[in-house]
Amino acid sequence: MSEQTTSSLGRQPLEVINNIASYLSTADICALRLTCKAANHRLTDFFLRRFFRTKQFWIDEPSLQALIDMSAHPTISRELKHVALGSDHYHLCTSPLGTLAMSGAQIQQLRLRVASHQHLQRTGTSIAMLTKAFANLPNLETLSIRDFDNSIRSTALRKTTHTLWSDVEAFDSYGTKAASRATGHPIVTDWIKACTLNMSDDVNSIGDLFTTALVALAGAGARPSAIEVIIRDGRRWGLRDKAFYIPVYLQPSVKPMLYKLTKLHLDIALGREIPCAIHTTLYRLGPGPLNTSSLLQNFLCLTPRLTWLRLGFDGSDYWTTHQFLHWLGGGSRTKWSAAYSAVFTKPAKLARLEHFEMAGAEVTFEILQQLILRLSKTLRKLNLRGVTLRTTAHDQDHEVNTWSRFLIFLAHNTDLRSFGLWRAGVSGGDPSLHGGIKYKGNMHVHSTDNMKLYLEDLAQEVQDQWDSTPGQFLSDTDTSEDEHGGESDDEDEMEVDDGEDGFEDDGDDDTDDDTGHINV
Amino acid sequence: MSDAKLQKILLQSNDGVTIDVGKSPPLDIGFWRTPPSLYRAVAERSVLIRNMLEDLGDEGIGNQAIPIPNVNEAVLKKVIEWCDHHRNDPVQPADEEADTRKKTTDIEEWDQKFMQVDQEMLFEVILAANYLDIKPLLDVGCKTVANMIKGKSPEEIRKTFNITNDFTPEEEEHIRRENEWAEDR
Repeated sequence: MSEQTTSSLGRQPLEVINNIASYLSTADICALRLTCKAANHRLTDFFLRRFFRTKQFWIDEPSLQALIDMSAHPTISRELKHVALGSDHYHLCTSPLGTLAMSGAQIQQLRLRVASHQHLQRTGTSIAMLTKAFANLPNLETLSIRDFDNSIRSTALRKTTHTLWSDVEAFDSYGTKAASRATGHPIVTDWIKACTLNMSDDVNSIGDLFTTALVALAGAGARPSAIEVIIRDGRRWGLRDKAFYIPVYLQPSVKPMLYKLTKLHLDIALGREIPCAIHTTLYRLGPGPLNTSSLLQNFLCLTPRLTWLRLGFDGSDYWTTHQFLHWLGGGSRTKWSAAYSAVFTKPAKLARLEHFEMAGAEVTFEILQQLILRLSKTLRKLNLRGVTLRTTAHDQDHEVNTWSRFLIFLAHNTDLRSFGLWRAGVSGGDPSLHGGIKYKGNMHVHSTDNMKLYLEDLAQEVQDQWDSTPGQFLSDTDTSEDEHGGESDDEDEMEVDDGEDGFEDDGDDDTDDDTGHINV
Repeated sequence: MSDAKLQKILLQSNDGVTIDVGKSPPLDIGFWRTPPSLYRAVAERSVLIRNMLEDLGDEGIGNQAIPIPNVNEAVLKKVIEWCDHHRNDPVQPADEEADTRKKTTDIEEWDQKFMQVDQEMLFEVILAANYLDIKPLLDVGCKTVANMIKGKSPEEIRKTFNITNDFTPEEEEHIRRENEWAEDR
């Protein structure tokens, strides 16, 4: 020990060692730890914080086994606060050329691993393994599910959804690199590739992951404060209503866990599953007689302590979203037509909600107003990303300024400290009546003590921009002032540009178009 | 009216030498001499000294030397040299966020030359910068050390810094396994 301290490096105080380490790569830090006991000892905190605070895994035996081993490690298990599960899976290539590029051993490996992957999911082994690990993670705070990894750079992320990607750090799922090497095959996270593996009309491995995680957390007696399902390809997949199914036998273990949640981020795809999808096509002129989000509603009734909620509706259809938000806003069934017989649970009590974020939804002025009013007592932060306000037929004489009206409403009925608006849109419920809004200056998150004044000013500036081109969002991309730091802002500005193409694409294929239901 | 900025600042090293911030060697070369108004800007690169000067007030300072008990003369002069060169740098906003993400190790040319000293001096400067709270200098020092570590094997690092391996094979194996988890192969 005395020998070690004679090294000048060894004499440096901890903060200096941490500073030096902050400039080193993973391999360098690992090498430095191996030099001597003193170095290893002094790097311990840094090492744990940098590599083990957040760790992403996937449904693969070596990966989950590593998680179990980490959870059995005396210090790592205490450091692991955020476990992420990636939607990674083997990309089974169907082209003969791709197969030719693989060696016989690699093909054999791939077969074995795909079999193991399916076995894990179909037999519940993945749940058992996760349960074992979660039970040994005393400081687990956040569980997240993601359909992206570190290779997805912001360009791709920006294009697809309404998530503020600058806030999300991307990780690789543990073990994917090794698996990819062994099979000579890429491990992928995205939807389109999942299709080829599952060959199913109802691909929803996001939902499977969610269920797996939920059951494992409950079984382990874990009490995380946050659950996040962050979906990059939100227009294609997300949590279906059925993912929120909690059978009676599970309720005793799931309920106490959900009760402790304070943060929930859900990217959902409501109304897309069979038979609901077929059902809702019959009721395109209004909400059908079915409650198509009943399981999600039940779920949210079990999370009364939420202070932070984000709901992404990118993959949801209009009427299901409408019906769901009506419920969330405390609406009763009497508001609906006589034919409407859906059974509603009591509206969720979100009596502590301070931060609400809504993304990728088209909603009527009244529904949104009702929802915000219900939350207004505690709500301090509101972010609306890609939210389109649908107006009623007689508003479409272009005289009524929808967003101005909404902003005035916010100014007078809420006590916000922070408000964010991105890619706001207006719609007449008809593909030919669509538009964005025009405003001067920068519309990113704005925090102020006098939110009323800010919102009133904003209401003056904002103008609906009706345009006959479907889905064309017009935004004044004036970046003169910048609340958010240059980088994130650039991303958002880019997103506005990218949005036009993205939206038009979607109008063409039948995956999703919230606004295309009415054909007058 | 006495202009505080004109006041000289004296620092006393731990080996008892009083150094005039305005008279350390690099400031006195040839015909060029640092105007007294800048003494303070130089000394105030150190947050520790800046706070001290604020606490003492202009009268409090007088002609007293401020003792710097952890730093010897040679190192103190070296540090003042750096502060002088960087006296006009904008003050960095304090971001005390414990960021563990990897940062860039680029060092500007003057600083690179400045840091071309023996290892003992390098670490002494780092220690002094840490003690005197001169964040940019501390960062430059740490970057220099990081650059000496980068890309090396454990054995090469040991050689560079004169470290003796004191691990048992079992301990080493244990660390290797943790490393594997961190590196994700």
